[in-house]
Amino acid sequence: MESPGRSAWRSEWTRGLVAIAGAARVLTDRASLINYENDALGFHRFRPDCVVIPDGSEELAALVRYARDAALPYTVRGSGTGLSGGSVAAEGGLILHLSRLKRILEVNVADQYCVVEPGVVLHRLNEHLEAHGLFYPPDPSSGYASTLGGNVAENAGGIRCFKYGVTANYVLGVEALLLDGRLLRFGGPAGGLGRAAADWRALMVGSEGMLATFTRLWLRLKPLPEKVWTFLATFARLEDAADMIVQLVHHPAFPVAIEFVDNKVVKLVEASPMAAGLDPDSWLLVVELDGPEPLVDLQARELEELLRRGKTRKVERTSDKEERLKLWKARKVAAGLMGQVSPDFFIQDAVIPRSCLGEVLRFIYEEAEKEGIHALNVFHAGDGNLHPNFLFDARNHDETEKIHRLGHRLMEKVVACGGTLSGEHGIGNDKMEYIGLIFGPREIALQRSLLDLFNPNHQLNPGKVFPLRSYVGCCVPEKP
Amino acid sequence: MSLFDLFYDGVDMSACVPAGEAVGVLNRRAAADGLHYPLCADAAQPVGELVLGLPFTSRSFRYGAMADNVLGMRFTLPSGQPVDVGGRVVKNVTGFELTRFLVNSGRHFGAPERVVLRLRPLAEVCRVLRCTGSFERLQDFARAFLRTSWVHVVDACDACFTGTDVAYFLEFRANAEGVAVFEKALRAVADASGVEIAPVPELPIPPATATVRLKTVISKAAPAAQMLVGRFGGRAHLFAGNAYLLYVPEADAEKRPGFLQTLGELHNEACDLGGHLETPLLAPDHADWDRRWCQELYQKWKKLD
Repeated sequence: MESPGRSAWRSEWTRGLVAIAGAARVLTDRASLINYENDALGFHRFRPDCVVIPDGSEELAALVRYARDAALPYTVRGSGTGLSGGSVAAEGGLILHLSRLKRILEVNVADQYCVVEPGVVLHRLNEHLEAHGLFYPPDPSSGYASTLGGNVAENAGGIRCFKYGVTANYVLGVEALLLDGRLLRFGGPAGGLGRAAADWRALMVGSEGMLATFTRLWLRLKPLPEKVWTFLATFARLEDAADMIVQLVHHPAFPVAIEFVDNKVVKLVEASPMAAGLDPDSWLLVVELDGPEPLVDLQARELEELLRRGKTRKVERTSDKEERLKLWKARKVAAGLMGQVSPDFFIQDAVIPRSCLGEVLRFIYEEAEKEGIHALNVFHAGDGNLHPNFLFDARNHDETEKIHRLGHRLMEKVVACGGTLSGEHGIGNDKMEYIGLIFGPREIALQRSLLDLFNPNHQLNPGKVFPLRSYVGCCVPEKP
Repeated sequence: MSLFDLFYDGVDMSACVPAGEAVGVLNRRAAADGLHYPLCADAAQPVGELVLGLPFTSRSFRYGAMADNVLGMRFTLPSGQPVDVGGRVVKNVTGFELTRFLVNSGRHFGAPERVVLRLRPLAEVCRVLRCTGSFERLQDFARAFLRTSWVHVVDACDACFTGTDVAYFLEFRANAEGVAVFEKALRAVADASGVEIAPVPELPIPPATATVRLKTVISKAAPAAQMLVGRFGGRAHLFAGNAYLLYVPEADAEKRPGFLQTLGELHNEACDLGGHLETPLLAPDHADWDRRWCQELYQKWKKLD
């Protein structure tokens, strides 16, 4: 039950927001706000006081100015597909939902870039680019729904990162609204510094919505590869799969993707209506290779030989579009199936040196077993980017405690191996508690000095990444 | 164990090296494992200078910018204190992207002490093709090539301008069979554009003393190089896929009518496109906000202990 103080406070500024965006796009009713309580992680729920869906960048600018003057904490959100709690209103206040800023403004074929608004869905951009023979390589699994603004804010990765790199490698420029109301462009089609001595654009990418609000993005494009081969290899033992990952990573053919699916997930897939016809007790690698047809055909033969020389049970390959989807099936349906068998899942995103893959995976299974928690692994093996999924029920306090212990022990192990907390999901509020494992006091001070520059009172996306980041001077009565 | 202890990890394809060490030392060691740090034109150059120097090199065509290949750094702040940014793994979104920021702008804020570099597999055969013809035909060739799937696998695509001569150079590495396939495919693109191609031993070395560095878009870069060399002499080296131009004017070029004005115009055009032109011949005209932020960060970092 909301207190009278909070209710009065809310109605006062809601009137101001309605004056800018109109009542239909200012959401304050409980049923609407519940949709914005969490991201794809499912737990860490925080209800915003209000959600506004601006109709364009000018309206967005007016809303940002209003929020600043009304001392409202605000968080920018795309499709809410993030996996770190980055786009939730951790301290209440306002969510600016950018789904209507969805125009593809330009595709420049000669200079191989495009200009988009932040609410454009990644998959829609690639559909649009296909006619131009171009594509935008970063491909987070959520690409069918996730927006490019969110991808840039989190420096999203995906399956193709091993060859093509992450979002940061493709952001040529960012137009952003600063907290002080200025609209600035960092970089642009040329992807340089512009009239600046420092690369402020680099800081905007992966800034998790804490430095500025994006209104326009310039993205580098690549020609569509002429041919793609997909390989599927199964193994009887984890160690054999891990050895093969290292060999694939070293192959000069440079696969696009090297993806790992553990035997528990394969079992889960095979027991489901989505069965892919795999040996249910096998460990799986899915590998992809692309490029010019005559070369890739040659390299595909080399890669097949390499896979067959390893301790594989089965190797399949195809370049047929439909058949390729079948080889990807177990990898692609895994996350959805986990959601079906467990009320909640806790996914981590640590990255480790690839030389430690076998050791850290064993650690995950052993630690999970000690706690009586199911751990399933599906991840970007080529990058050493782990995604262990711990299945649990958030309504069960004991299980939640176990998950926290597991998460902490895993992160300690990852850091001891020379790894890091997150490779593509971001820290958000989910991994905030681990930040001290990776940064010492001086590193934290260094990082926070950027907030002092752009967001000194933490009004923009408070309660994320760095502990004790709370909006100073916030007028919200009784912060959640 | 600290993340920034010096190490060489051939399995994970990364190494943490002192900033003062020549990049050739690392590459000799890596070669034994079939690896290399590809963004290196001068083996004698210290790693610290390399990573804070040019943002692109020839092989950025395939491997990306310098900032895409530096995984982390121990960096000495203006306070004299070392601070660690990034790490040793190939994907890292923990905190703000300070590694990339410092690689691209770090010389204003301090100096690297140790650098973690990403190594890549080194294929057995290297083939460099020199493409020659008129400027217009070479432009057609470059446009056609940059639309092919070969851009995903070719290591370098540079253009050199001297006097009235222009040539493109493509470098590709694979096994012998792959190299033959590449040469055949390139010949077809070259024939269609009326361009001659011939193998040469190696890529031309980019000038280390370019007084003009221009970052622009692909379609403006080669015409800018052609115009500068044609009007004011000297030579230009273009990293074509990254539209990054190094220009060495003749010794007295700044005294020639229209030279500084032309640089100013190129600078303005580049800035409008979100690029830039760096040269000691023109006074910097950085935006007020940039100057203020750089100063504020510098002062803050000077006080970090």
